[in-house]
Amino acid sequence: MAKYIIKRILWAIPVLLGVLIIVFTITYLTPGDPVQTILGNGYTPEKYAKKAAELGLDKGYLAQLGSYIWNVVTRFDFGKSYMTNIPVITELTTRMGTTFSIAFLSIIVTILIGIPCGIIAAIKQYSALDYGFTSFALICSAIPSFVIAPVLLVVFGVKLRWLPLSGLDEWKSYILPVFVNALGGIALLTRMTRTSMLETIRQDYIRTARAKGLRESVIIWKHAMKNTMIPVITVTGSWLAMLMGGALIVELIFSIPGLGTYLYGGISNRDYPIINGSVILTAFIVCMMSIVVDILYAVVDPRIKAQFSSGKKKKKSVQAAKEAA
Amino acid sequence: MSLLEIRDLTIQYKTRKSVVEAVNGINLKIDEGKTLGLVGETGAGKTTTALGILGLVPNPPGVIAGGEIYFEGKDLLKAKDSEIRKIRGNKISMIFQDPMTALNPVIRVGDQIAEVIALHSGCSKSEASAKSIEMLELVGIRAERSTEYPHQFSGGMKQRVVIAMALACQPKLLIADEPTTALDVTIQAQVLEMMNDLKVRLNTSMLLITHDLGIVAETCDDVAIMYAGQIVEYGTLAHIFDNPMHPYTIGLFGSIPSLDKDVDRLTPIPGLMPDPANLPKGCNFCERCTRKCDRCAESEPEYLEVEPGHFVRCSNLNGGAENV
Amino acid sequence: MKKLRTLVCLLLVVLMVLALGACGSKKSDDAEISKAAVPGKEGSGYKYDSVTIGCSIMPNFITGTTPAENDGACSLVFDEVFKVDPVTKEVKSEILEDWHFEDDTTLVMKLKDNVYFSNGDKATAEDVLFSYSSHVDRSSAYIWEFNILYDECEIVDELTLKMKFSTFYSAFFSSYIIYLYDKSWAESVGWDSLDWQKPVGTGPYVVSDYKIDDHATFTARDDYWNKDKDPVTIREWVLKYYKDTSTMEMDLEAGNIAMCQFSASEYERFQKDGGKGYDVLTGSAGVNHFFQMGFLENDCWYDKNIREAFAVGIPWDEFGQVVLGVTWKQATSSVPSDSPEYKNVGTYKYDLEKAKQLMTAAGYSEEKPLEIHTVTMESPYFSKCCEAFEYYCNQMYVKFTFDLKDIAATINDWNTPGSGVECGFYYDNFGSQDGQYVRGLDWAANPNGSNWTFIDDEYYDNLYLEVAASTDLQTRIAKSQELQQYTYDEFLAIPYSEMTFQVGYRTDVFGKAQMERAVMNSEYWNLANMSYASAWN
Repeated sequence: MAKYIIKRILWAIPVLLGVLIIVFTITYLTPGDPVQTILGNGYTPEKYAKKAAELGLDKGYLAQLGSYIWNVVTRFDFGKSYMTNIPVITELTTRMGTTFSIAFLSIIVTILIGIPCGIIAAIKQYSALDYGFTSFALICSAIPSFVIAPVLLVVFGVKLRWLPLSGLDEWKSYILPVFVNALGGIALLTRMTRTSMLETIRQDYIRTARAKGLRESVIIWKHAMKNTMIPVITVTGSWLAMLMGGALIVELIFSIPGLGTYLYGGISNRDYPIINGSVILTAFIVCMMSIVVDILYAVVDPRIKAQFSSGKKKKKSVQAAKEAA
Repeated sequence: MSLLEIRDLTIQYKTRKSVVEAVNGINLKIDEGKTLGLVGETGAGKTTTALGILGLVPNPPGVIAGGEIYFEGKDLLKAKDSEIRKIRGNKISMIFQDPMTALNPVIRVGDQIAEVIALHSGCSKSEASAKSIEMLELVGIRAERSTEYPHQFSGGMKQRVVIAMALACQPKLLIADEPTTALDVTIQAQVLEMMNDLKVRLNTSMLLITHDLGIVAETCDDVAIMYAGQIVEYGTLAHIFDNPMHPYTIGLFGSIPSLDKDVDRLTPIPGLMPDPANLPKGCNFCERCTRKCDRCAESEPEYLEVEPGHFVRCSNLNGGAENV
Repeated sequence: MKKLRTLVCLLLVVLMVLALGACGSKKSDDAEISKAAVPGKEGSGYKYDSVTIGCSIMPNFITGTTPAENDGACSLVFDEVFKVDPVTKEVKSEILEDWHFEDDTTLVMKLKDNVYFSNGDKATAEDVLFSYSSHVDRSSAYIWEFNILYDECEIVDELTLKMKFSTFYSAFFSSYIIYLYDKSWAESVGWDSLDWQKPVGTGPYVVSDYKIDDHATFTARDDYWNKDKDPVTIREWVLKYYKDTSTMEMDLEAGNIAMCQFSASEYERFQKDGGKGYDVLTGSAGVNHFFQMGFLENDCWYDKNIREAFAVGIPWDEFGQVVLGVTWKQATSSVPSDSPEYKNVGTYKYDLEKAKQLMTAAGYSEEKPLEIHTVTMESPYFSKCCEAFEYYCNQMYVKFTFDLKDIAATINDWNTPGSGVECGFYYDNFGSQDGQYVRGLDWAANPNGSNWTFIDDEYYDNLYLEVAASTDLQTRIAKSQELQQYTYDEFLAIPYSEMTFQVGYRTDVFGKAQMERAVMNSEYWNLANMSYASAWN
């Protein structure tokens, strides 16, 4: 198992390198010149040349790519923002904390609400609860977050004055952004869990469990849950990866200085170091998240774990059985 | 008094468009220590009957429309949910058809057996585990394998695990729904032998559902032939095998290939079973029957006792095997 | 089922906590200004301990760069070398003891003796010179926008310097906003350093906290050299950054910030529904919106008939109302009406028939319309402009096409001849309230410069230069009015609205008279001024 994890992590490196090269190339080729953006219009050729040399943009493509990769690999130096001169790595690490905290809170709320709702909807299929939950999920995913967020702001921030509207000064500030993020996730997770659970309880082994005389609740929680979780883990993992990359709309509307707005600003200004650095970080998050998801699969489904286990495991289980007998 | 007595049981599957009459007023009886073979082709209603006994008919759309099922004197259809749960796995156990999907893939095999033991006997976890290992050894699986997962077993071994699980609490009645259909012939023989052995040792009654007359001959004491949701012939093994009276039964025996004769073609029963959502007015078998007359299509045949303990549902009972 | 029950209980608990939290905040809400402005502590001498306002760009203290400097923040930590009084139009200075012209082209400046930076350094003539010369060294936007700097400068003694000009332009005093920088400090940290987030200046405040894209906090200095002049009533300003302006406006309404700029749409809503606890004032921005004929390609605009056709063929007042909504204010000259140089030259009377005749005379018709194209930035305002313009053009044998791109791609096109940028919708800083022309000499002669018109008109260029170089106010006013009339007669630029800005402020924090004065003088952003005790009357 450990060998597998190490192998996956090592595989992430060429993936990240590939992402780096592709993103670098795309931003290089996109129309729009950071030097022009900084200088505005009406500059002289000399001024342009001077600024370009300052930013290292006068060298050829390969030279720029080469020096960038070298800096990243040897010193974790992602360069400095052309606009603000702040080192990208500094900004990324600061904003990571903000974005990740919201992401983790959101996913916890999503899981706590989404999964039980999906399970209830599946168990009581065709009942009022089922229709209620699935309709709610549909509405939540149909209404975009940039509509929900301002509405909530107006209701809770302006009219009722219960919650702060922007920034992350106090714990109350987290409520609305987390909630808006969670709504989208809940919609997704409810539907996913419901579908998966419906499929699972139709399986033969559930019938066997019933024939053993077990109570419905035990059947759901002990026999059906683990099997239901596999597609749910996939979906949750990718949702969390997306949130960790920075949910842009939420960050914009609630004025949260996170990774999403950082990348957005970078793109508008053609601030290449910001764009490249943010994308690499996002790619890294996605790689790590997929490794975590794979590990969780192995935890939940022993058939998958069996692919990784070595001889050691078998010996251990034999020992245990012998002791039990 | 018999261990299990089914009276006039009717089970239907109600969909929005139609009503599928799966089981129509059947009567069965199983005494202690005896094995009843329930024979019929696919779609006759055998599995539904078995599920009906344990209250496992999926609802919706299944509905028990009438009848009584007496087990140890109590009507199961009128019992509360909690009472039925106490009986399932404990007094009445069921083995299903497909061993490949009958076990939960993410729980260890030993744990799955221990679960049913702990549930019904209330003993501690370690005791239950010890007992489950005993059961596994009983069905011929080594103790070390109790910590393995179902996917690590072959089909035949999985079925053995299922049997071990079913017999763990020493039930009075074992319902086996085509337990060997999914297995190859050699394993089939092994499993049957084991089942017989256990049956004798634990004095378990069995309701064996099958379409294989060979198996019936080896294991059953009584036989009931089921067609289109009705019992068309019922009797002891000798009754059915030596003196089949219903045209369907006769047809079944006739379609078995024989090692002695040398024929070019087999003789099946022509036609197909009627659509259970749309059963014919008179006798269900009328369409395919060689003995039919005008009366058959109009009215339901009566269920007559032709010999003591031997019942046939037919309107044209003069003659027997000779008339076919 | 038991687990489900526990989950439901958990949810209920969470909801209860939320409700309690809300109740808690409701109580403190009785003091409505709890977040926007914290009242000053007893005996501290401050009216407010802290005031929070909203801004949509983070403070930047280096002038003439991109992103542009945030004047509001700069006013707190720096003193300007020269400042034009917005009411009397006099040139004043906080830090100079005296300045005078030795002759027409030599300016002598003498610093006060007691000016100190926040790090203890004493302000000297070197610092004054450095504050100006750094623009050249950094080739800041000031230089290429209007290079009217001295030719050479001599340091006479510790507090005195002498600047020699080839021609002195009055814009030197008003348009060059020169904050006094500390030469030794600036040179030691360099222009790229992050230390510039908390710069050293002679102003009444220092930056105590700077968190990018979040907020900046300014705290009053105890050792402010000019403390006795006018006590500061606000101990701490918090500039809260908002990426999304609607959230900022909502925060004002909710009472979390005390002042912020309002967008046109929000102002429209305010006019209809009013606001609880806050008011919105309108001020003149000192510039006009105008339709710019020409940019990179200008051929068609050289025909006076065509220019006239555009002037009379489009109902410009209606156009202005469509694109600007409630913030539209009729423009009756190329210069805003509150400028001392303003002359009411009138508007163009809408006459579609005449326009069509002119276009026909120029050789265009319904089948063969004049095709013009432009590239501009993707934003609600510009897309409204382009769409409305397209509609009106269709009625007068003109086919107008446009591309909306993001900022970087637009700027790229604006710098690339052949991109098809033939006109634009712009605003410019002419005849601003202080009555000075901003644009310098090279712009008048430069066909690619961004002045009112891109058309080469010798008479216009010469008149323009005369206005810019007039140091006598009366002469300048006369020349400017002549220029305005000429522009109108020759259809060189078509203004469609005066530019206004809206400022929202909480009525329980700032006084109405105070805000009206600030807004009228376009000084609402001068937070230092707003802090002085005298401002509150």
